[in-house]
Amino acid sequence: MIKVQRLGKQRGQQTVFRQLDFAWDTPDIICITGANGAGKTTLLSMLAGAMSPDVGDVLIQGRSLVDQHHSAVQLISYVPDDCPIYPFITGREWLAFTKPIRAFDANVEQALLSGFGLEPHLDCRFGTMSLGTAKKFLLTSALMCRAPILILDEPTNGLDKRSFEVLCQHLEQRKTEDLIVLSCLDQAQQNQLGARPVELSSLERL
Amino acid sequence: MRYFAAETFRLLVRRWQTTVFLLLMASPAMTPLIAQLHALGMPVLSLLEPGHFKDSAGLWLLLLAIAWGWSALQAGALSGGAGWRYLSLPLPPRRIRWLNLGVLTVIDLPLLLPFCAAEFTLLHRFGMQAFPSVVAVAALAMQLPVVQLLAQQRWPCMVYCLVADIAGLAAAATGKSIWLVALAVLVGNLLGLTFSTRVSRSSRVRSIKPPSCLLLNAEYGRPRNIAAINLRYLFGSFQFGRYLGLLFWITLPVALHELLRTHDIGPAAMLLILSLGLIPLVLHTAGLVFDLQRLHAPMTPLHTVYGLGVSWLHRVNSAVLQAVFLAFCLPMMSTLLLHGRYWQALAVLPIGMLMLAACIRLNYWKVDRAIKR
Repeated sequence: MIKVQRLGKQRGQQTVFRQLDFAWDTPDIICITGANGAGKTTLLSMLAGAMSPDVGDVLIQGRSLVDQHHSAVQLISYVPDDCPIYPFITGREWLAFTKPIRAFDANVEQALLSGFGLEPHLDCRFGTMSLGTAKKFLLTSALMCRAPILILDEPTNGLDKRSFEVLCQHLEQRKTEDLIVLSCLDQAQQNQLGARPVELSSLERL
Repeated sequence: MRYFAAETFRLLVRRWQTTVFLLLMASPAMTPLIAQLHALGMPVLSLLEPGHFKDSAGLWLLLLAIAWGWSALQAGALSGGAGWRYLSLPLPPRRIRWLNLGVLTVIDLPLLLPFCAAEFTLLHRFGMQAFPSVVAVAALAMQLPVVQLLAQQRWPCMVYCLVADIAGLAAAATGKSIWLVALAVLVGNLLGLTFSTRVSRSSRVRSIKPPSCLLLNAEYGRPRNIAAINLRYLFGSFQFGRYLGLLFWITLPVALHELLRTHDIGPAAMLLILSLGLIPLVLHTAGLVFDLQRLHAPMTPLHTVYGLGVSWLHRVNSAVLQAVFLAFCLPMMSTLLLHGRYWQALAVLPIGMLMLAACIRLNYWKVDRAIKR
């Protein structure tokens, strides 16, 4: 499903990755682990196509993120670690904005909205939302899409217990069909999500 | 601190060109420089003349209103603008206040010119005998940034300044010592600043419900939704200061036409003068590209994943700015076509749109270079 070929990234003088080489072929939940600053967010944003690599390529179901970016990103749903949404738009508008971009499942959307308890916040602006609420809107917009690959950067940040359980249930339902790659610093949460930990440094080609 | 220094320097660099341009436009070539300075300082000097309290109070309030409008145009420069949020160790409110006053003083350089001219006139005519008046003029000049700061952050504190000003101007009008004016204005400034120690940053970002055509909708295409986001950002209520600047350039041709019509100016000259109003409008509109770039920058990674590339966004932004420009040109075109019957003016619009496209392209080029750096 995802194949990474000789991926390299440099930031200024610092080399984040020299040569990452790996492939994940089957549906699964994979949790990228590593120390702070190891490059988890950089890797996830490159896997999602949000950041382009300096060298190498990422193949999403055989489509290159470098050469066939537009068709490759159609297969990906991505939640970044921060919440960069325009502060003056509401949660309802954000969901409306993302719907025409990807095919989505209205039932999943409704289930997530009620599971996360987002209905009362639908007309709140992002600028006035708490981090947790904004994150839940981002998660809803990503999870309601019918994409076979989910990239979630720190999806549990700011989530309350009930919302975390809803997220666990949703990922549990999808893990037999889709590949879910996420990062999560809390080991207990990793276990509850049923994620297979993969140490970032182990992905580097020796 | 380095950020504030850089910001202040940038403001200085940006403003001197406008000041010199306006001075060149406004100063009659045949009048000696000293006479020009006397004329420039005349309104300020009239504030200190005895016997005209109503006139001087009205004039001072007008000057304060102009100063408020001027600062509202550049409200983003206060508290470091967008860069403020990246400061990990916020400064104490008192220091922020002084920094804001420093930035406002730089912004006010064009407004302070009449005060400088008045001081020059006083010293030139009366020498050191005019020292109390020079101090009073300096105190009045110092009040402009103070009032601007209070208007932006804690407007009820302006009452202290205004009461002190009225008292000072009344003292001047009744022929009392000019030191009283200086003292009253300085006390007003100090009181206003003392009672405004808390800086309310959150109060700056208020918004009202946008019209339904600008709400994002799943049935609209991506370009229309992005265009709605752009328009809501550009003309949101938190951008109020922008309306004043734009309004000035939009209505300038109309006002100029009314003014020049009484002076029996030929059609060709009138057309040329009114068309010149297009240049600042184009530059102002093209400058909005930077605002749109700043708006979309944090969302760029997410947009990229959604297949909305940077060049696609640039195209939508350009289209929005062209549409906005057409709307801005309406008063000018109606003046030229309906009132003036200058049919040659029909050529002005496409020329303006071409100029705008070129300026937007240049600005994008600057933005791209900045991103790559």
